[in-house]
Amino acid sequence: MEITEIKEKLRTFICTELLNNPDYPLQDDEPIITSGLMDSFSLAQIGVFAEIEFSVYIPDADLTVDAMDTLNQIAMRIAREVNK
Amino acid sequence: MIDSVVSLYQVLHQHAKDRPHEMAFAYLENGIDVSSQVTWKELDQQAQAFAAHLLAQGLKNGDRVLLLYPSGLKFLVAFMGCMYAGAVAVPSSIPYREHAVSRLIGIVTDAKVNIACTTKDVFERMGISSFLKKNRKFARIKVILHEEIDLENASQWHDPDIEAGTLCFLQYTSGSTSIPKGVMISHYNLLRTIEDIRAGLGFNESTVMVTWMPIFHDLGLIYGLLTPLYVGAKCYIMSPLTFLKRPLNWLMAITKYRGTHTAGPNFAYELCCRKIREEEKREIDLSTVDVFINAAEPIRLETVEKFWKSFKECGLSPYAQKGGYGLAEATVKVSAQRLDDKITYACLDSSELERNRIRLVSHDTPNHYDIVSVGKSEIGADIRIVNPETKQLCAPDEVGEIWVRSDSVAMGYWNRPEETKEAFHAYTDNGEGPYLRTGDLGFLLNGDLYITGRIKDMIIVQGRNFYPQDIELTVEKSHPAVRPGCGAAFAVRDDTSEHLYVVQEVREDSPPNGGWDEVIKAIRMAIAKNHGLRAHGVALIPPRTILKTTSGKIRRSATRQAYLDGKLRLVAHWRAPA
Repeated sequence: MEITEIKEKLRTFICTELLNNPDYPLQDDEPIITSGLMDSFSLAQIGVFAEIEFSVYIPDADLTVDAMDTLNQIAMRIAREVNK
Repeated sequence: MIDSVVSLYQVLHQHAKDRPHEMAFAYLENGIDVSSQVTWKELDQQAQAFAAHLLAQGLKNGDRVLLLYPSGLKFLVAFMGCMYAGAVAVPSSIPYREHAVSRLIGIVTDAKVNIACTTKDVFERMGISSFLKKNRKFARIKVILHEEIDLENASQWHDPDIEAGTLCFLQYTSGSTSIPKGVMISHYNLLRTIEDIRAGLGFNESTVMVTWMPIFHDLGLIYGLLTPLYVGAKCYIMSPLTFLKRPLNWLMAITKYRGTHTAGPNFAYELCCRKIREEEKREIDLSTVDVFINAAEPIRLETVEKFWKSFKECGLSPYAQKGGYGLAEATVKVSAQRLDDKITYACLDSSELERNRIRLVSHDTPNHYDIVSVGKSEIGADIRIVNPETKQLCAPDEVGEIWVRSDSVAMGYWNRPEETKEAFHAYTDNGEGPYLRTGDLGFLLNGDLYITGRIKDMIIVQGRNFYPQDIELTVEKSHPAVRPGCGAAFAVRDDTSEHLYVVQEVREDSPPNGGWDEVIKAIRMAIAKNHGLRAHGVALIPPRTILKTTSGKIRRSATRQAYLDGKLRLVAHWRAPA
């Protein structure tokens, strides 16, 4: 799967489900958690979304603020699992 | 310390006189550099001005004031300001998700809050004005924005009418979301618990605290902020997020500011071991640290040893890591290891322990189980190990419920006489009491307390407490195929931490259109959404097969055991990959 496709699906999920604002212009490298847009516990939802949408499991150890703060980071991490 | 002190605010007031221009608290926005700071005089003055503002708004002695603040100096001004005004502070976390919002609504309703203080940033970001409009019963609440208070103007402040036994603040950390319980902490409780921490862990004027623990959490608030305030020490604060984003920030701040005291739950030490690279360790100097307290979730000896191995080359003292134990109902501390204690642990026979018996074995015995000591009380707390059923005192080699009587045991739960009686007024079968029932299990050995588990079915993940009934409610609403009231949520531990598992009945033996897979996904997403937590296992079982008591209550620990033993008939099962 192309990373752009992963990224777009993620962007829609994050804006619609986590930010409750489908029109939010979320940038690829915009910090989502450290900027205060959402809290670190939202990573749990992103983890489950990755399982449901892309059938990959991101282990707890990788589901952390330092590794998952931007759309780019999250998409790359998921792409790594998808293309294994 | 000053004689005749009845409240912590008088201590702050005195520091402002004794050392007005010394730095008291500093905030590290990026985790490294000081972005803002206050001297003792400034903090005293600003807290007075905050109090004067509250009083000018018509606040009366004992009114509850909700504090909705991020980590930082503004919170400290507001918290101390409430004390200066004779108000009862109600600190709360800033809610990001639905579940947290319902908790906040629960707190506001329960505490009958009339005034809420927050920052401009939080107010705008959380859409608090639209929240208040939507919930009409909150229309009476007056919202004060911190930035709009004239913090220079303390002229209207006057000493509040406070006695030692006066209620100081409410700690909403216990009780499930549906029934939040506010633990009532008096000024005396607070001073005594701080004295307990000071005496055991060697706090003094030259202490340097580095803290990132949440300010609305008893450990972050009292150990992290108020104990340094009490002794007149310097304190460097960063937000929990700054630590989570880069665990190295914590240890680098300790290095830079020559920190002597700090704290974190077990997972924080794990995170440091996992995330900090070898080359980064060269920059870290932990030789100044007297106390790394490990508390707020079960302490693992493996983690303590791992942290020691990872950071001894950074100057970590073998005496620095310490176990501590407490709960909001005892203000914060019940016991902790002392400044000059090395971490100690008991090596027990695990099969005996399963039968609630303590038998010490040597470390090379197969099936042994290590439990880290959580030390003692310094204020003469009377700690008893009691059989929770018969209320008889346990024999020295028996595990029982930990009961506590001490100056730091809180006044009870706000407006909840029944629950207060049950938890705070317990008597042993021979009439000794009143004791606080902690709900935790443990034993005493050579005067030290050890924790083995808990009676309450609470699930603790990364220092956050979850009530199973909250999670079960989320699960039953997550998909039409699940049978309401017939599920169990419980914790299972692996080497490093606890994880959430769910066993849930379905309505019919045949799967819905989307298959069982769809149900499991719906359950997992709902838990993540409402609680910010991933379940590590979900088992669906046939209708009318979950274990219940004769009165129809879910038997969570029996269900857990049956699940672990593979004795449940499963309709579908999902587990996180190893």
